[in-house]
Amino acid sequence: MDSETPRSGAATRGFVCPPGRPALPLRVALDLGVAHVRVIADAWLAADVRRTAVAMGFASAPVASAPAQAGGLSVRLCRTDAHLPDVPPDAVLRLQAHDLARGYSTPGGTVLWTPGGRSLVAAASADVEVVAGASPAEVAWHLTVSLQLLLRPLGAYGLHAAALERGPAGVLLVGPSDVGKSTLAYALVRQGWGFVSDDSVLLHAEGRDGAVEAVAFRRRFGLDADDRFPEVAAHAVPQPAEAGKWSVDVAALYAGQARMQTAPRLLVFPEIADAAESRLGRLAPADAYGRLLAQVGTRRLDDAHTRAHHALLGRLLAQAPAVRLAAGRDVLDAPARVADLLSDALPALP
Amino acid sequence: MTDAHFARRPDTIATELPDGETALLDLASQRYYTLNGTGAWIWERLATPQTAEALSHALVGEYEVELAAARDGIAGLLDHLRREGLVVLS
Repeated sequence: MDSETPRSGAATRGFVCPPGRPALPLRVALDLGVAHVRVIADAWLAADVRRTAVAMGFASAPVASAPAQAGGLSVRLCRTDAHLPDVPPDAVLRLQAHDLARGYSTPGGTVLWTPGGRSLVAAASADVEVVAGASPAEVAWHLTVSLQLLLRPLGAYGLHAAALERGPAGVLLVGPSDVGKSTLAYALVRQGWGFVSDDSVLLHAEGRDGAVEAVAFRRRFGLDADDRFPEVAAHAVPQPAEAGKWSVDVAALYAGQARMQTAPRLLVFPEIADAAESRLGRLAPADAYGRLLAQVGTRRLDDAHTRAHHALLGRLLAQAPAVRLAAGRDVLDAPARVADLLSDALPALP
Repeated sequence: MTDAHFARRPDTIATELPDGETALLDLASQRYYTLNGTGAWIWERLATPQTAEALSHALVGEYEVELAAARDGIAGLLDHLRREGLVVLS
């Protein structure tokens, strides 16, 4: 499907890479744990796409040497100098607005909209088109959200969470940006916990023993570029999507603690507290459901996979009790105490 | 209104929660509601359009409840679900 012939149809018109381009120079297959996705990009965007793949920690291989790709998933990215049209209102089935980004369900697929870019995510492929001057952060957003949408038919759904492992038990740190998820996650990795993913995971229905699994989506950690953890500087590159943040190759620092997936047995919803010591409180399932839902980027999508996605969230809540963590200064000052607090909250496994 | 048939609005999602409750999500508004076990059982039946009277008799057949109490309970729940836009008259 790397033909450069544009697709047809009212909903897709204007959201395709221009025809007749010379060969697209970047052709790689990203290993996303549950599938490989072939990514091709034109000369303008190849560097941005590479930077995103490195910052997210996607393992990649040249297309020619990549394993067979489940479903032939592909993303094609190109830059245009043309004005990007808006989505025709009569093609919109549903709109999801989030800050500067919007998502539209249309008969031709999901259209992702940002001021300088459009993505059309159809059944097994996505076309991403950005205007000249679009920021690397915008390119990274389109690529990562397109990838998450492409994986839905495979039963893998994105969640804004970090995934760790304590012994055999998975622990998800779920919450919006700026509640200290990455700092807490990294502090626990320093305490010897296994790590799967920072910031984003793929929840997958087909885990071992029928359990819901969290599969790595962002294998490098996004940490503030400061001196709280001095050892990370030697293993960090700047984040393309967030100024002032490093993308840290934690696998290079703690090689034996890296995992590809884990079955979550505890859901932790952290909040920053102005307190010396962290505190835990149990959350009722209905409260946890609402908090979980708020961290699902595609929660307004109404497509063939929506019901399966929500059933999966219900299974996750049945599999993993939920707690609220008021994270105090001991996350940095006495991380062993926080590790013990969370370990004690883990249910006994059979 | 006794012949009125009630049905779920299609873009609502029901998710079973581990404590026996069910979360009902209105995809359009992103508001969610919780139903207890009986409410979830009624929601299941609303997969096909139902009259309040048929639901009341079905409830009596499933739970140990008098018909009058079942009618009151069903009327209250349907009224609430209608006001929230989760069920529609079909």
